[in-house]
Amino acid sequence: MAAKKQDPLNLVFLRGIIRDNPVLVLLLGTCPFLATTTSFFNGLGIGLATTFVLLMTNVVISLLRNFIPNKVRIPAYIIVIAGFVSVVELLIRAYVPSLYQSLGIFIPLITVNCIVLGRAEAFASQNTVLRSVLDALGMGLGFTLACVLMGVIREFFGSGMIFGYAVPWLVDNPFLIFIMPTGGFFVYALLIILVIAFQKYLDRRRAEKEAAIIERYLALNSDDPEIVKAALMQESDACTSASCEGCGLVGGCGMEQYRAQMRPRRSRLNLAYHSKLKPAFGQEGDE
Amino acid sequence: MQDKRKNGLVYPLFALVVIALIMGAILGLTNFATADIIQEQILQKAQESRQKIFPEADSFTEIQLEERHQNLAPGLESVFSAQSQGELVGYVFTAANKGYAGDVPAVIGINLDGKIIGIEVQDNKETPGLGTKVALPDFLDPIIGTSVDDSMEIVKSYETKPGISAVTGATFSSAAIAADLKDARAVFNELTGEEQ
Amino acid sequence: MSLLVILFNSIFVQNIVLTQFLGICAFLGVSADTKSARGMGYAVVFVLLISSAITWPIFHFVLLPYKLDFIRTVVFALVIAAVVQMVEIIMKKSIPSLHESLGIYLPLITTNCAILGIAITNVESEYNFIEAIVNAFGTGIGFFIAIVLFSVLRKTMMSAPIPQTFKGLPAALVAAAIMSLAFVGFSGVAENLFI
Repeated sequence: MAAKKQDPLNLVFLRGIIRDNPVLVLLLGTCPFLATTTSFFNGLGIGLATTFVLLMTNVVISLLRNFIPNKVRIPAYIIVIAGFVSVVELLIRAYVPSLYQSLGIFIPLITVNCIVLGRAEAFASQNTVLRSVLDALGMGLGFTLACVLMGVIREFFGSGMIFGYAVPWLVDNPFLIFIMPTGGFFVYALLIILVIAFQKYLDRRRAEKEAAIIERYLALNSDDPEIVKAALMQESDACTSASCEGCGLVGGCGMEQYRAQMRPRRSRLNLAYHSKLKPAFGQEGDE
Repeated sequence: MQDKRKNGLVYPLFALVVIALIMGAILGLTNFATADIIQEQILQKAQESRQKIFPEADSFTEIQLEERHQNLAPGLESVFSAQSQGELVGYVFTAANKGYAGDVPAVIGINLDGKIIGIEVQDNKETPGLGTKVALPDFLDPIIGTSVDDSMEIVKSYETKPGISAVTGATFSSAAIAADLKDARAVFNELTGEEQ
Repeated sequence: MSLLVILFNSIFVQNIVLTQFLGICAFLGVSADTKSARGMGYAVVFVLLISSAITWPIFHFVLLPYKLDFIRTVVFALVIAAVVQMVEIIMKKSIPSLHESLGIYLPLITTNCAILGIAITNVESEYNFIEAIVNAFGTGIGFFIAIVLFSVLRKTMMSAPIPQTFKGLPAALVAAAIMSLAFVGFSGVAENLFI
């Protein structure tokens, strides 16, 4: 397997926030996202709690990544994750009891949040501690931002309040439906639409970049695979470590079809590579 | 590249045990550090409830529950006597009986005349928006001011006999509160009976 | 409390997906076609029953007496993972045909919030063993109904004239929103139905 090109550190952190936002793009961790975000405070609470667990879990698993044998990796991850979830559960119960009341069962359910297990399996187990920390913070921040956004919207329309402060008229005539599960699904739909629009914009920009590369390739017209490969690798990042491949559990969340549906990865670069270059390189590194 | 011992049985188990021990230590430490705070909160909350129900009282003393109290009132959790300047002014009962989805705890204050002067419903898992209505003034206000001698049977909204008006569509939750009240009444009668 | 009421409650009134918001990942991800939806539904019912049957006794006979209830999350999560693993192995050996249709869904179920959620609800609502099993069974049925109905909806929507902006996931979510609204109609019904 060809060595995967490693993303630079700042990208490891930033991509979790927008480009690979865990709940809006990767569609992971939807349960707590839909259920608990009925207010800004709740959204912030679940976001930060999940970030804490993500961070601690990534650190520990990254530290122990050469120690944990492959056969028992899932039980090992579960012990670590559930352990930190229990820690955060106790901490919240002791120091922020109102949050403990409103989040309820969703604090222990962070254990089975696809984001945590997914990042542990796909990233922390194969990367250094520093990168794992950045990845956790990025994903956690992305999740928290999404939850807060959702929370503010639903709180505003559903209870007529903003950050806990009453909004005149709206607080007496709230659109209750927004705090109910129905509202959760609906606002999620609207957010997804925004995300798709944003991705279409990004894809357009990428298409322009790729057109330039293909031009360069054609201009080179070289027989030396190394030169051409170098030109392509410069811009290639078709495989993000947030993708499903190589992760038995996260991919199993069943999100593969959805991601394909949301973000068709038929970049011209990939097509060019497959049709023209693969024969030249033989069976080398596909993604 | 796979270490041969990693494929055996002993090493993986050993690894798991080590991880379990590490996490266990972290968790145990946290539990140790937070247990008291959590306990304190629970007690604090209970104290606040009692104070709210008996505003004129300045101190509460817990009464030891004996077996006969438990027999009379199966859902009973605690009994406190309320004093104001050293004088007994009433009792506060905490009882929890099965509602729709688990127990519905209620804190009930009864003064020496046998009047229910306050009732507060604690955290429960009843159906939100329906069963949880038993915690609202609409349901509880009519109960305040009634006497222990009044009927504590649940009455549907269309019936005219005396009793506690149930929340429409939340009969089980309402019945739980009624059972809590009955528990309080039973022990109240016991306590005031023995003082005579 | 009447077992029938618990059953009705867990299937309709407090439907695990549409009211309690658990199991959404599987609900959204596996409902593309009815066959997989059915398979996932059966698998969930099965795992729910077994894991509830095991976690309840562990909590009441091991954790509580030793004041270890704060590690219930760890224990439950491990038990569920183990149950899923065992079920998969047993199924593979004894009923290979069933394993072929259900098999791929089993690993996904380890991270299904519904399983852990019900295990915790069973102990928090202080159900006795029979009530816990009935609750687990009802929840599974509720999940099955929700996911199969949803898959039918999505199939129908594929040929519907949906505006481009909403095509795909957003439309599916709006459909889920309406389904969940429909289920709100069940609240208040359960109590007087079986008395």
